[in-house]
Amino acid sequence: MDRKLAELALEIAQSEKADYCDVRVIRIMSEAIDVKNGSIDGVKRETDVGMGIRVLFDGAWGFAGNPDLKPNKVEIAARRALEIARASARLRTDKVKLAPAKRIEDKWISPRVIDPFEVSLEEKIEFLLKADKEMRKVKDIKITTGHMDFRKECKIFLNSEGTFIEQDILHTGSGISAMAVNDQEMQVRSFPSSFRGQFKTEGYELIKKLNLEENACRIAEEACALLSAKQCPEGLRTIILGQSQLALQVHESCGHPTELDRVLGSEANYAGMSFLTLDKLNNFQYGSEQVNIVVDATCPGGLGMFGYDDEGVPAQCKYLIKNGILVEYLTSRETAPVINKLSNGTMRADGWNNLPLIRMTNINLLPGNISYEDLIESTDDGILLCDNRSWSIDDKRLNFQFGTEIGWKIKKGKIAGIVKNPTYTGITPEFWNSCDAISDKNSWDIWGTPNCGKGQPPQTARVGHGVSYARFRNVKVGVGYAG
Amino acid sequence: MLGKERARKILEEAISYSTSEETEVHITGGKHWLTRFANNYIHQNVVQKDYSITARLIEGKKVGIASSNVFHDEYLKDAILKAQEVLRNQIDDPHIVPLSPPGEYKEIKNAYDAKTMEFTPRQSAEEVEHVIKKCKKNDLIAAGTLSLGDNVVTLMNSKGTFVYHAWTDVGFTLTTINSEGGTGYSDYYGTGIDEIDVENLTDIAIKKALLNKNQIELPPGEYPVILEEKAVASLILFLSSLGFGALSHQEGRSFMKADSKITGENITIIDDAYKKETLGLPFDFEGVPRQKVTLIENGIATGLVYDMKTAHKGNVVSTGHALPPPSTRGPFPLNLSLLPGNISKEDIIQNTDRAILVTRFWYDNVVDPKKTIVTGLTRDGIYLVEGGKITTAVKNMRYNNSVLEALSHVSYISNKLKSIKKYGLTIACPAIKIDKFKFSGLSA
Ligand SMILES: [Zn+2]
Repeated sequence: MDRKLAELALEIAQSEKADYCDVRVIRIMSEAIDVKNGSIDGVKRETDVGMGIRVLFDGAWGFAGNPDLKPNKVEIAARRALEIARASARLRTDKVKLAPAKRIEDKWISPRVIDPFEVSLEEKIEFLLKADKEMRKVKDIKITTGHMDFRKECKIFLNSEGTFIEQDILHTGSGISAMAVNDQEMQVRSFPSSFRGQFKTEGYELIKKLNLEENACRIAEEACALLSAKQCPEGLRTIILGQSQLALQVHESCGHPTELDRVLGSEANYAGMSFLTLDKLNNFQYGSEQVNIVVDATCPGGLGMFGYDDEGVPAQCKYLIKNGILVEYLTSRETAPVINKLSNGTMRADGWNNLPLIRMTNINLLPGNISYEDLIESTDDGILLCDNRSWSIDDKRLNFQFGTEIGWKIKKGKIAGIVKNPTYTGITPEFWNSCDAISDKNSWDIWGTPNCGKGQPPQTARVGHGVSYARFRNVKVGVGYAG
Repeated sequence: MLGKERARKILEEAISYSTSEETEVHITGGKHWLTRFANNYIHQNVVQKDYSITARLIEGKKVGIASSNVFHDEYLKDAILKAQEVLRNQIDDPHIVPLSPPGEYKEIKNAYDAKTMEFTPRQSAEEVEHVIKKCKKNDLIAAGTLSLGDNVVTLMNSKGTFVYHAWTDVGFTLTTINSEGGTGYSDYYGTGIDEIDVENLTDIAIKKALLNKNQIELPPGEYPVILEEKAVASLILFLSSLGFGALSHQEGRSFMKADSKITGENITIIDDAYKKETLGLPFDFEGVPRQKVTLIENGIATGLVYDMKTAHKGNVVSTGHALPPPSTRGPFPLNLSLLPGNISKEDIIQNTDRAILVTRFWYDNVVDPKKTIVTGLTRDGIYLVEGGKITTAVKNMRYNNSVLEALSHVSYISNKLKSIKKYGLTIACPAIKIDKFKFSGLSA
């Protein structure tokens, strides 16, 4: 049924002599559960269905999103996409040409053990409330929250080159947080990471592995302890970034600046451009030799995992940064020819109502060869910064500032107490070149970022970051609270 | 567009499928066109259409919420049944409040401009063509958007509430880039396509980019700044999420201390969906009429916005600021204004001996919620003002400041408000001069 309607849209585009056309029909089912202070805060189920039609006509693009899956409405939408492409063509300088892509017929289903939509709501709520109860046992905790998010996206993709792909992608996320408040301030601790927790391309089995209840009391105690902890000192310091904070550091300072559309100026009006200009490809020392970063849509569990991107290009793994050198960008069929390559499959759309853009898939910092324990032990004087609290980076992706929920002082190779309100700032290549150690695969995991914003109209992407722990020297710390 | 009578029929039918004690259903949606250009050509050009129905069902102390964008014909019943299913599997919510009885609200006139929706993709392309030609003539690269659309929010509940509001919106944004990579910017947000003065907006962005050459580096530190309207809006925006809502106050997270002085005396901030610069919804997502609320008056914390739940807890009436269910973030002001002063922006510059003039901020984020410390970067043109004149362009910088502290050092407030849309909020701001503002580092 969906396929027939998609073919109808394709036929109309082709009969009007479109250069190229692709159609996606998407059915999304989602569930969000929030508990707070021992009771329900909200449970919502959502269904979202529609078709996106992208047409290239006379070398220019048009796109129409259409929620009505009826033949007459599909026809109207297809003609609208054509009309828009014709209007765009008035102003084009060069005709858009797409890098070749293989014709594909396939079906891809993301790995899962337990379908969360088959698990009863009661069971899920009870699970969160158990962790919530543990957090509330700690005196001075004012607000406790727990979250679960599930999302199943079933989509078909077909294009005028004969490709037909079916995909079924399942995401699961969960986390808890405890907030301690007094007159002057509030302090939060989250587990396993901040902003709704950990997200993966997995089923309900993820929830069972997270050990929320087991960690609930600990984070609540940490939140309270932060209220009376010392302020993170100002100055140049050695820092070690904890996994989920390092994930966001990779996201903002490597993922975004390597998006080729940004580099080429497509996002100049909104998200911005990139300091990683084309002249830097294959010769720019982005980071120290320890730094190896890949774009990997095949990475199991990664929130950016899929079989094919939204141009029908197969999932791939490519080095972006190899031994510290910039060697690749995230590309699409339209942009890859600029660097004489084929698309590496990173075109992704937020649902059916948006056109695909170059987006991260899983941007992973490969593990180093020192154990986590040795990383700490070999640090004479430093701070371990964990779980993001705030983030900001400029429109070229150079000057960043992050804040984390907690800082652990490291003295002579040992963890020696906590500091509150840690912030750190730097300039991207200086920072990554100051990286002198990355912990090994035993402390490596892949973290989901379900809220990456880009584009106009704004789109949200769900992306992943495989990371362990990394150490950076001479980093400016404490700037957010300076003066 | 979904008209009022058709909306009423759908909502009535939806409620008829519910067997719960109380039922509330709302529909939101519309159609939007957006033409996007960069590198002097149109690279993305889209039309989007979507409507979504959300049902909130209450039975005893249980609530069920579900939403769907498929609700034509036989699917409408499905949407309600999904909420019922959630409710059946739900546990008790001890803090539940009953649905709102019907309330009287004043219609917002002139919110819908029919002419706007007749504008064609071809006409949009022609406008963009004109902008690009002007930029090219000045050796600038143009990137930006021209967007327009219609919107509907309508809600009905089983207590007899029925509310409906439709409006159009338009937006224009323009970034201009000079040969050194220096940029300029202008934008406009409003109701009708004819309001957009493309000519003037293009001139502003061109002038800013042409000025933004040979940037000098200033050392980080404390400076007097003149913030243009968009930069002011970035700061004010954070106050809404950090403390103007009753929930944040009830939980002790808010910076608002009732009847205490929290900013300078020249600062008054209100939320008003009827004010022409901040037109919004005349009711909220519980169907409650939206009130005008004075949040800060002459520097004193005076008011908060409420939804039914927080109003019940605070023993007051809802001000009509509920967000769509499940509204876990609590009530929210969506139509903020910082009230204007009585001097023109040009005169502020002329009266200034030395200050940094900021076009806008970028990637602002909260560092400390209760102290209202925010960080971010300048973007698209900052300039040094010396002896009442703009003398040179300055390299971008990062700031870290407490918003309340910054608003305690405001020496000038301009007499004209500009409407800015961001994250679903409409904020009207004047330009202001702040005598002490901290820049913490250099940027790109
Ligand atoms: Zn992002």
